[in-house]
Amino acid sequence: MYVERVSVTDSAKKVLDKLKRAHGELIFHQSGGCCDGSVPMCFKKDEFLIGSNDVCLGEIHGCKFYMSSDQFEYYKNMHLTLDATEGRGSGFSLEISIGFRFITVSRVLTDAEVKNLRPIET
Amino acid sequence: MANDDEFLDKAVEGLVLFAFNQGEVCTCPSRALIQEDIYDEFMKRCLERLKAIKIGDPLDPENMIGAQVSQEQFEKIINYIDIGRQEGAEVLIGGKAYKSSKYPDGFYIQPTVFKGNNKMRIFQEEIFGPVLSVTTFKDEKEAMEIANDTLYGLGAGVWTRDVHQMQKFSRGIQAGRIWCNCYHAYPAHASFGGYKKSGIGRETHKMMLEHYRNTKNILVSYDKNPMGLF
Repeated sequence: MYVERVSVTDSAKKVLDKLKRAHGELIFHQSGGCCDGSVPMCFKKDEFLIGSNDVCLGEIHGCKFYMSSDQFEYYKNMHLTLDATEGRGSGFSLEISIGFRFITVSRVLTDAEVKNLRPIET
Repeated sequence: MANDDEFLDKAVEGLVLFAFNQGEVCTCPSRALIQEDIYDEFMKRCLERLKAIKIGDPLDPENMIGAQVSQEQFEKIINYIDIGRQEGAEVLIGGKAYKSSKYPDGFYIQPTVFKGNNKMRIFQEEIFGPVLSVTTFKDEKEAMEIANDTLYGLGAGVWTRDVHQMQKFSRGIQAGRIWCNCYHAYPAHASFGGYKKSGIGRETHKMMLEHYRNTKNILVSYDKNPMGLF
């Protein structure tokens, strides 16, 4: 059994179920940098083009979770939990329109966990 | 300190400018690299200056900084402060929300300074709040390496008394705008845009007017007669 890099809370699962009913299959891309501000972006599968420099960290509730490989350099020893909170955000992520916001909560992985991590998909 | 004068005071003020961030500043000074041999005394003065900042109702002219722009941003900053602690960065000042007596539910954050290293996420990602990550360097070579070891390159500031050093760093740092012995000046006509992942192209300079124009080529013959090929 591998240690996962991403996991999801029950409240985020509920929001994802709603979004899936409206949009079908979904993916996440952790945004980097400037104006859309270091948040998980939820998109319809195939609507967002995954780049050749993106890596997949794992799957949460049936949704693949991506980020760019250069940003991933700083996430190598991080575990991310996708959570959802009420209140409208300002980005382009799908949940914004139904009055929720996804957030990623980070935890530094232990040395033992790092040894047994799920390999990333490139 | 060897040079205890108005310029030193200006450099301290320059560092403290990070605290004005209320949720988004494209060119926010998010990292500070300080020469090792002046670090202790310099940082002591910066922290004193930071302690004197008055936080609260922005309509009260006595206050210097107000709240963050949204709950979303407030939570994001609190999250990053937690990440910084987990990564082992040391909180030199702040590190938590600020409780305003007038607006106890307001999204206020205390000006926060972390000391850590450039490989930490708090150095590499844009937090966009009154949060600064500082580290030290030994010499010019190390300073340049750290300065350019980032995915982004929109704005940077160089503070030095040495004009040669200023020239070397303003040319060597891979960023679209370099402020020298100043920061956060945005005059009209100064080109604005980033290196690396901070963007493609530039704005606000005269040359950018080209982006808004079509080039048209009109070919006119003034001869009334056929060319005579048939």
